[in-house]
Amino acid sequence: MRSRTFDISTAMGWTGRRTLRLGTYPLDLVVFIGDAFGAWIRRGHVRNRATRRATVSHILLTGLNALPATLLTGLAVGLTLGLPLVPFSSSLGNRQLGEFLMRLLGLEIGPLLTAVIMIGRAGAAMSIELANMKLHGETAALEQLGIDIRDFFIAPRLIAGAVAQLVLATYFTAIALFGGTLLAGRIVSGSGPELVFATIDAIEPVHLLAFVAKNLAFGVIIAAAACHGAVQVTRPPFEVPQRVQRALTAALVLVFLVNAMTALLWL
Amino acid sequence: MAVDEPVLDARGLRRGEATLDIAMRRGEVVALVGADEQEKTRWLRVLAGLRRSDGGSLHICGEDVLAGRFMPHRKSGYLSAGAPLLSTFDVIANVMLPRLYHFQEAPLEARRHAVQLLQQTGFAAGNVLPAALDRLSSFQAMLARALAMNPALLFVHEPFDITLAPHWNRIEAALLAGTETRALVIATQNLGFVQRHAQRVIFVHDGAVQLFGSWDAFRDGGEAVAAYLAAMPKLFEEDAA
Repeated sequence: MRSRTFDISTAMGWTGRRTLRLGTYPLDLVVFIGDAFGAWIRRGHVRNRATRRATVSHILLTGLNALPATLLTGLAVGLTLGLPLVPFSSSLGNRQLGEFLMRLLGLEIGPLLTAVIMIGRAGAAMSIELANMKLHGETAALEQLGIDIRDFFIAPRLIAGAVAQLVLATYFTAIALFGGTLLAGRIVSGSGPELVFATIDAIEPVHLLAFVAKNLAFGVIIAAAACHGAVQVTRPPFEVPQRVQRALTAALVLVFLVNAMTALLWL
Repeated sequence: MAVDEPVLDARGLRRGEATLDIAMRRGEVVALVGADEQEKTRWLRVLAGLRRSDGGSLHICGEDVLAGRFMPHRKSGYLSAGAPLLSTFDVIANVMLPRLYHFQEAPLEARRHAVQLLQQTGFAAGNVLPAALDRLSSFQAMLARALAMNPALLFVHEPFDITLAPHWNRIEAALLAGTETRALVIATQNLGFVQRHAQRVIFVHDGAVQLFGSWDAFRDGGEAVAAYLAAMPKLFEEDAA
């Protein structure tokens, strides 16, 4: 029987390969996204009926269906943050607390937690669907019909992911910021909507722009990571859970990293 | 394109050391036979323009397939069990898809055409997801999808699945319906079908390829053919008889 001994060079090689793979992954993903949108635009399928149907149905599937869960989570998060923070309104003042809540909840936590919900719901669904299609030869069938999966399957999902993330994050943030804090104020001190008005006053156009850009980017990252992982599936069926797991972890890590980088921009 | 012009014109088409010359017109049925399934599949894909040949020329409906910008699906249909229906689309949506995608046809028009094609192929199951279909209905729906673009040429890879043996006559009828307006290239082990319907036979064996002008010419085609026919399963022999 062959003995398994620890080999330092193998361990270093493994670490090196992993690091290299981690480093090139974002680049891979950018190329993947560019390729999908490139095929979509190049073939003039921006207004293609089949592609448009796929896009609309996925916006509904990923966006509308997740709305109740998103609203409930948003209210819970608003309450969770509002309950300990509302008592500080007397010492900090509504204006300062409103600005703090807008920055924390509106620009950071809202998009981030919506993205986590999106990864768990839409990301997993997209990844599993495409991986199974690949495994069962359905993508090969599409190719035989001259249907390019990049512009029929992937590009619509990237668009749907971006739109759904933006819409869901808007609902999530609105309900968390306004509903949650209003409810927390009522519970803690029986106060009126002053804190909500102060939060609204703190919103500037640049914040709205950043909110939209960040959520669109998150949506595209989630959908791209999910699809990118799924198309790597070859033949063995055990690859599906492995690839899906990797894709969702990658989406999660990338979303957190991008969020941290955008937070740095506000300094 | 004139009606009597060849829909498929292969000259010196090469795979490895084997070379094939064939011209096909509408209404013609050509069978691709041989014991080596993989090699047969490769030749079928080469003829359909889905796989590059090692040399020679190939024209489908007058267009040069090897020129690079040719899109095979516009002129020909390809049907194979390895390329199933999309599992998340119902049957009609599957059959509509090529026309929606390529022709940008109105959904109602594409749907009407899909229903018509399904009826032509003898499809009798409801508009359900492919997972709910039996194998025969699944084949009929796949055939309807392959015919969605009104191809002048249909390539079919082994439709006579052994589990569908009781329905072979229905499969045969579905495949031959409308062949007066299109040509059919079929890779199969069902020698009964080949004997009854194929005007010509392409025999693939040991890295070589031979074209025979009729079933009789094929049957008397020498040692390799005799060895192949002798090795065929009894079921196919009985059917051929």
